[in-house]
Amino acid sequence: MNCTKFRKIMYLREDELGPDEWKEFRRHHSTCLTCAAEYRKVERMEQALTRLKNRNPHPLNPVAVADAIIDEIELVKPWNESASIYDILVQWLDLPKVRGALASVLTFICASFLIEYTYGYVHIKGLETSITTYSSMQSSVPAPFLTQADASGVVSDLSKFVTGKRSFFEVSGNWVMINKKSIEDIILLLNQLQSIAPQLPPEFRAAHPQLWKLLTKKKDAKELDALLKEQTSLIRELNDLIPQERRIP
Amino acid sequence: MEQYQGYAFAVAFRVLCDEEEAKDVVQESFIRIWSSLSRYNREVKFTTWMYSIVTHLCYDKLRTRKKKGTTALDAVDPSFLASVVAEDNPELLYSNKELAGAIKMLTDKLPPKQKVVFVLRDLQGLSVREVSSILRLSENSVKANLVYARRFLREHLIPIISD
Repeated sequence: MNCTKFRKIMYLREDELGPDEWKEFRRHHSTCLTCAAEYRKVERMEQALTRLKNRNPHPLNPVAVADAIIDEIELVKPWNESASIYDILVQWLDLPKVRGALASVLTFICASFLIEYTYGYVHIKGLETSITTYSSMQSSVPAPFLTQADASGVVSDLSKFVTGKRSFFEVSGNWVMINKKSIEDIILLLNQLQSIAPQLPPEFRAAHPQLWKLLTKKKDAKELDALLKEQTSLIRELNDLIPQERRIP
Repeated sequence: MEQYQGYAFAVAFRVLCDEEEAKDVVQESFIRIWSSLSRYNREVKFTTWMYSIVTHLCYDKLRTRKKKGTTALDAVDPSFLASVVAEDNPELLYSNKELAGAIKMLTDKLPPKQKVVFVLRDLQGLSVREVSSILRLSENSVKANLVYARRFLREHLIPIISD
């Protein structure tokens, strides 16, 4: 290290120089008397500065400063007039009361959804279980829902039910289960009657005009459904034909 | 709070050499800290962040003062500065005004950046890394400013303390 470099870095302290630089510095300091004399002045200055550093200003009165700060803070508007709408919105959303209200609304929505979902899920599960139970019952168990008033609607959907398109029906505003075996028996009976319709006596036709119409006219499924919907009396006639224990209550 | 106020006041006082201006800067700094707390990066030490706010406010004031050509204090007797830096008794108390006068006499001719670097490093005792973080300068730049400031101070201080 030469004198020029030494005098350039002699104002830096040990922790401000790299280890190698510091070694070189010390080496030059021990060999160059002129530089060492210059460095002594720097050391004197350092000592003087250390004394100045130790002279701390008298502290502020903390209460007075805190009061002044609080006064200033109260003067600051929640948002200034030049702020953009976005900034105002963000600041507004940042208010504790607004955040609390938003959190409450969100919680309410989530809770409602969860309750509704859980209730609906349980309800549907219950229906499915009931359907499975009733469908597996013996044919001797009467269908629990069928009344004369409900029957037309039910019969109109029989084909859909049997082919698996429907699993339960809405009768008089309530969801009800159906005894699948009983309905299959009714369909089977209808098919049998259809096949023997030409041999049925004229008295049968007179006694059961609606049923006779159904058995002899070849209609497609939709027309049949429509016809059946209107014909509640048909069920009464069917009831007369099926065994006592399987009659619709 | 009191502790941080003390730190903030000491820096502002040493940079500005004026008690009233330093008080104003401390108040303004704490209002800024309050209003921008949400932007505070917790990876940075709170004191570093606080020093950064205080120092930048002081720096702005120094530059304004420089432009207007105003000074905060009247001229100080050099012998008084000599007694402040020569006296080794720490129990010897000086008023804020006396202390401000001594620091001002020593550092008033320094450019604002060198003055701030010198105060933070040599009078406040922060490390070079902390100073570089507070002033957003490289460490080499901080060291360069320190060299210029100390060289200048040596030239002014040595004749005074040698008398």
